[in-house]
Amino acid sequence: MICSLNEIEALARKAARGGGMSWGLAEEAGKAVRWLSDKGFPGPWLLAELLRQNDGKPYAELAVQQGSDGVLRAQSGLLCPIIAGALICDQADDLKGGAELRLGDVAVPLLLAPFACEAARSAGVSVALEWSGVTLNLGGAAPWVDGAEAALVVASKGTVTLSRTVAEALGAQREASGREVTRETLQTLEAYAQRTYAPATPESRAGAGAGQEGD
Amino acid sequence: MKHDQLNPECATLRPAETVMRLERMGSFHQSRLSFMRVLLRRLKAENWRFERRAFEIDAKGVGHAVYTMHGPARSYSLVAFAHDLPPEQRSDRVIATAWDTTFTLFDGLPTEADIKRLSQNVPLQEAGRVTTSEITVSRANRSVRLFDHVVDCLSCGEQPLAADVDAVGYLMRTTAVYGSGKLGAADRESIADRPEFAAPFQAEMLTVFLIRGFVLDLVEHLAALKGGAGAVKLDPALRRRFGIGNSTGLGMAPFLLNHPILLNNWIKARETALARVRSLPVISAEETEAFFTMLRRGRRNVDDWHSEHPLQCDKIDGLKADLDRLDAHLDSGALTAPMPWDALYRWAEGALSLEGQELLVALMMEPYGALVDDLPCQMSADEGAGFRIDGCMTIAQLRGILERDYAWALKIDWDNPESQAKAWYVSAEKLEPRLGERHLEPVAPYEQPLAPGRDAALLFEALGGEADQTRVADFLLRHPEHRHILRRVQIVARHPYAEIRDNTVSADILPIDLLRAKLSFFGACHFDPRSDRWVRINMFRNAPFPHELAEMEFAGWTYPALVEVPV
Repeated sequence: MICSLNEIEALARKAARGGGMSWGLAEEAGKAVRWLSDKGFPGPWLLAELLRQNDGKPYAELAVQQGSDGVLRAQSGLLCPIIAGALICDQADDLKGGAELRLGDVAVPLLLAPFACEAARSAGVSVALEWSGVTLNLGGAAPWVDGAEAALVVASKGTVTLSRTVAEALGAQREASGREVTRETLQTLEAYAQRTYAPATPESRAGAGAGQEGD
Repeated sequence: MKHDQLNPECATLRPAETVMRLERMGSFHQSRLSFMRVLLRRLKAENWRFERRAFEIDAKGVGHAVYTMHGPARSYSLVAFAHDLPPEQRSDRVIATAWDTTFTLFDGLPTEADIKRLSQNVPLQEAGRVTTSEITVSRANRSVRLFDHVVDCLSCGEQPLAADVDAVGYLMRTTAVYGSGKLGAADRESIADRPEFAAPFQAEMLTVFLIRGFVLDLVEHLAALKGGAGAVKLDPALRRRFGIGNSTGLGMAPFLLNHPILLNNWIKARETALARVRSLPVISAEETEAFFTMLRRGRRNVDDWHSEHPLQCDKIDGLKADLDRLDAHLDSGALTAPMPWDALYRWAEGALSLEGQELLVALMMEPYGALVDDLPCQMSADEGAGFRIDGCMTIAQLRGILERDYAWALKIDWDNPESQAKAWYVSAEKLEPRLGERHLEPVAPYEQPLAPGRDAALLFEALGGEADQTRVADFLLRHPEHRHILRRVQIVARHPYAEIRDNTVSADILPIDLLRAKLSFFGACHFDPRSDRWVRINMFRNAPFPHELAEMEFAGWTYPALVEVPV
């Protein structure tokens, strides 16, 4: 199904909340998935994959910590790109200094791209995300992929680096429609979103809106 | 006088602590800045041309029609589908599955293939899909009381009684007007750069404006099919007394909370307009006359305003008494004082109810199109612009903002069960926002983030153990549960009217206050609450029809007595 970006963002936000994120992080997930879809990447599929991986894990496990080697990792297991991405955005000013950021064992690394792009825009710099020989240049009008496209859409990756680049990213608008969402992905996200809905009660049904009376 | 000639020192805006209270917002009235009026001003000024491109409806009222407005650069077409709905299926609930009529606003001129595609989807509403060629999707149901009666009257060659028309006010009411990408339609962001959509909700207002034209044509068409040669059309003046009804329920209530920058921009525009008028040193004779004309028409509008809801009845009675007091005050020469509008407003603050004060605010803008009509194009908002959190802000700075902008919330005793008696949630059954009883129903785990006052107080408490110089980025890493409200607090620091400064989950919250505030900006009149959580209104009542725009003068059309309008 072809969805509007607003539908994609709303579903992603609800699904992320249903998947256990705080409302504030769920909003980040919604915006990130929207950005990816707008740029021709399969945002909803990527989020569905992440929610599957993180399902049931408490935040304490997912929280980011910086090891003695300077690499950002999760307390245990894979690093959540929404939590790490939000941190990158919150610390966007640090990008001006030019320090390279290394993230270890990242789940669905492409989900970091919208955050890296926003942080770069905010800091007024260009950045590149790199993993497995593929580089995603961000900060210009459209992302520019250098390397094998197939390596972008992976469920997890060892180490991802985020570094400042000199060249501005001058990618072309991608052909792929990121607004095309498969039935399976929709169903997965809707199942997570469903967890945010309360069972109806007789009290709640009464008086919410117009009936037929007084016509 | 133009606004750039005003002394900005005089043009002080009312503080958010005064304006952003639910009781006051629940007393807002339509004004020059309302979106329906903005739309009609543009259609008139730019000479938009109306064309009825198709009207293929049979005697049972089934078929389709295409109503197009041609603007300077683009055309927009309402594609209407009329259905034969059994009475037992007619429901205004957003959860209904069948309607008398369904609509979409098409971007341009639809082809036969478009009409066919739309005929397979638009009548299904939520169960169908549209594309980026469609901007809105809507539906409407007949007023059982009035629709058949008017068909009967006209088919017999008679006009319906004006009193019967006024008692209902519309032949159909919309039960939803969806925009902004719903059901696969065009995203707001993809059309926001068009001048005709610069002000908020213009596509939605255009949709309803064309729906009204279609509905009146439909009733005359059905009367002609029924009565043959003996049938008549509605008298044009009586015809304009029909608006389009609208039922707005809880589903819309969270909108203002979910769009803080948009809310700020609406209120800021209105407050700026008020400040500009208050700063005028003198009033000309023409301006005085224009004000008194609109005051008389506003009075008639209040006299026509009926509601059975006790709260609203009391408010209307109070408003009538306010208008008597205002008349007496004006008779005593109130407008001859120096800074007359400022003096009048200050008097009103002490002498009138909130309904009266806010009606006066709207009326004071009426003579001053040149002074305030530039403001609606500043009322849209890019909510995304406020999304990024400033992670460099220190805890000390954040505390300072909370103490300044959320002082009202920090004063509330949130441990008192009454303070958190309600919880906003979405029901699994209908996927619609609901307001539940937190202490009586199992809804708290599903609570939506629609209690900013409570959440700000929780954030303030959590900051207690933090060092002043800690950056909020570090705090958020440890406390993701505060991310939503912290983002909001930073928005409010930059946009003072972004926050409603009242408890939205208290035992005595009236959701209709939220609905009224929003609908007043649309330009609605005759708010008729049917409970504390849903309201009926009338849209485009007294407005010209699409085919009348060119030859008619209709400034100030919202209030009755069109003939009194100075040309």
